[in-house]
Amino acid sequence: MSVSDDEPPTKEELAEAKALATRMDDLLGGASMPAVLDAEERELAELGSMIHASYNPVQLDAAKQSSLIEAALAQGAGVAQSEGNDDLAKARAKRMARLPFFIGGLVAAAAIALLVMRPSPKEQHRESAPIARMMELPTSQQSRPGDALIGKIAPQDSAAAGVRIDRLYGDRMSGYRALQYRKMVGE
Amino acid sequence: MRVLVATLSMVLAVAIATGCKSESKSDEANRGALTTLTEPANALSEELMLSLGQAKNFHHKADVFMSDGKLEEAANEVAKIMKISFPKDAPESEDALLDTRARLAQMRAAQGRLDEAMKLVDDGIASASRQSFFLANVHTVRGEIFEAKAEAAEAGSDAANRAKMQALKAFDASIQINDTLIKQLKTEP
Repeated sequence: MSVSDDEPPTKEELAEAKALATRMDDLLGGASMPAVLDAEERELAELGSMIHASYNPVQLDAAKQSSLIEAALAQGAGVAQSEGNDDLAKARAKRMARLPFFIGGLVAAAAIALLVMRPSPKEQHRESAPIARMMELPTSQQSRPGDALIGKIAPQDSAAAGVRIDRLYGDRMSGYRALQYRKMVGE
Repeated sequence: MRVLVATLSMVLAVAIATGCKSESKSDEANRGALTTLTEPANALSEELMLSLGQAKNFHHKADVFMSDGKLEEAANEVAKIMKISFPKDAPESEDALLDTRARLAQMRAAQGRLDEAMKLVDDGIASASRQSFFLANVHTVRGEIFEAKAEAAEAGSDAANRAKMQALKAFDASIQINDTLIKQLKTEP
């Protein structure tokens, strides 16, 4: 078949075509492929069979279909078993060994990125620098003379400094606690 | 070895991430404070409260000794108040110290240590920055000390007469301060 398609077929080619057609008819009729056959002729015969099968699909009976599927599965499992023990197992082991490095590296990269990308303390301070505000204190929370609390000291009470300091301390402690509470709640 | 390296890298990563997170938590807290409260200088301070508390304790110790008639021990406890480091700008500090001087001066006078008592009140009067009922009380005690001096001097002597005159002046000073303060307090809101 080395001749150009434009030229008319030779007698030899016609004879070959006829022989192929006869062989195809035989094969489709149920005959088996001849044992001795030229490689090119075998190829052509198989191609012809495939083309015929694609145009004329044949419904296999259930038993045949099932036996074919089982045979295919058995063959697949056999391949997997035989190969799984060496190459596939090695590949899986290799992947598993790399997995912790991969995960660790990924987490570390994410953490470092987070650390690098976060705003610097200076920037944060600039954004959130609080405004100083002077507290307005009621008289009770201010340091002040004790005269209003103690009043005039009578001569007979002149030495009663202990009693007076008790009153002074109690009063100021009350104001001091109120002030601390205000500071705590941020009033 | 591989497992060790992998574990270490994961621990490092988790530590960095945790550090970032915890820092950002405190930053969030700081961001929440939009204002800071500044205390006025005349706010009641912890220092003042501690000083007053200490003074109170020494006065009570003195009371205990006095209840047993132990005047010397009582006076020694009151004297310790003079060594307390009161906040200088707090008016309560001056009040408490003047009252302490008045009490201690009376104790020393009762022990017959009149000059020591007089020095206590004179120093107190000199240190006072304003008029107060406590200062008036110190003047009263000063008058009592002069009275004691007059009694100690020979009757009709110049020393006795001078002491009596000084006593009258001291009581007048006390009366004048009290009157002024009473009027002042009545006019204040």
